[in-house]
Amino acid sequence: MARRYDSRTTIFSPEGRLYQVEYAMAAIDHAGACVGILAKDGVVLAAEKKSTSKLLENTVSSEKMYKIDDHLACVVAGITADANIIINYARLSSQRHLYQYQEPIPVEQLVAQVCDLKQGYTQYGGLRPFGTSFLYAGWDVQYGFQLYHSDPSGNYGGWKATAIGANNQAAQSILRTDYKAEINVEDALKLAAKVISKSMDSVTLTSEKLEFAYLHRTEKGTIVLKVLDSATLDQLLKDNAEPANDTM
Amino acid sequence: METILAIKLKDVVITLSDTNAGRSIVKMKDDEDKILVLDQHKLLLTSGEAGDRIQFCEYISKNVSLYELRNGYELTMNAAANYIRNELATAVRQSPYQVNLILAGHDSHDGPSLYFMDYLGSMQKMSFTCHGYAGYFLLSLLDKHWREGMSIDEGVQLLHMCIQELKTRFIVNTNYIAKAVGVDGVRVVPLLPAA
Repeated sequence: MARRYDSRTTIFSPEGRLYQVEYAMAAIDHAGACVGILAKDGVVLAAEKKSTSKLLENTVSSEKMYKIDDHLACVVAGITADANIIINYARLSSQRHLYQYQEPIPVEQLVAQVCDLKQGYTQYGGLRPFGTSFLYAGWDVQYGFQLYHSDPSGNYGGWKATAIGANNQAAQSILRTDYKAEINVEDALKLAAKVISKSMDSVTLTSEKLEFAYLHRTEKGTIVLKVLDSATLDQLLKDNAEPANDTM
Repeated sequence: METILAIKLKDVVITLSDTNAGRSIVKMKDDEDKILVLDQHKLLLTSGEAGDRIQFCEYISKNVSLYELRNGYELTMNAAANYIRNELATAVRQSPYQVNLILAGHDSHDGPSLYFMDYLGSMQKMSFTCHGYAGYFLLSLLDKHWREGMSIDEGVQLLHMCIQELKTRFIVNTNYIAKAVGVDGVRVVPLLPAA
């Protein structure tokens, strides 16, 4: 009976729900897990890659981790093709702001602009919503390091730590107990390793299936996104990951 | 052409503008305030074509307010200056705004700062500057007397020196208005009555 009201995005159901938007969010729950943790000296992003094959040339393009600007990066959960459109829009927005104001775009402003785009696809045009959620990590002079999450409805929130994608409820509950304010990047990486290992589907825990990165400030004061190489990542996982599926 | 000038001191920027508003040989108004308060920490001094001046400056002023309302914080001086410059530069190849501006203000990033802009979209961050005929008389005076880190009293003294020079040598007789902008906001600087 819900079926009558869910074929078009631009209409409400009698109970006041937007089914297409909800279905989009359900699609994301099947995507590779992503974790974001805000530290006092940076932001950590971690993601599980769903498509891994020896034949994949993964030095050229990333499935999960994207740089939007020098001071802003994001991690994707959901339909990759949809994500590419939004990433491109985010990069354009960021450069437009830089062109007009000669200053990097404040993080929340960028997130809000992307979300306004996403919201448009839930209200007019008759097109389906984007099937992607993002975790954004960024720094600006106003509020320092920040972590945001946006979903297909166009809603966004600022977070200290959060997870999206597969098993995100389990990941969130671990974060709720283990996250401490004033955590630093080093400990945040360890926590991210622990959390993502618990929410991964596969038993094998190697750097091939994961992407880890953190945004931080160098001594010179520039913001840098550092992606962990496979050796460092393997070591991090060895030291901190806990096997999944130990309850069941 | 109207006189507008600004001088960067240790903690504030003081600004001066003439209060004449006229057409051809007629002085229509002698108490026109050409120092627009953009927000709590920014002043925009404007000179140029009658309609363009008000039109452009109100447009800028409302957009600056909109930014603050949307985001909960003011534009930095650097961002505001570049925004204004961008508007001028975009218009210059279609229908230029014939306005010359000085943006003077204060932010936590740079302290007091001031930017010279002209109707072609050029911009320079400066320690002191003027638009109009005033430059012919005052730039050398300011070169001689300006130093880094002047106090507000020294600044006001320098301002009176400038006014005196214009009264002595500039053919147009007019009154002036002065405002200062610093970390605590904007205030009118009282000038000594005309000699």
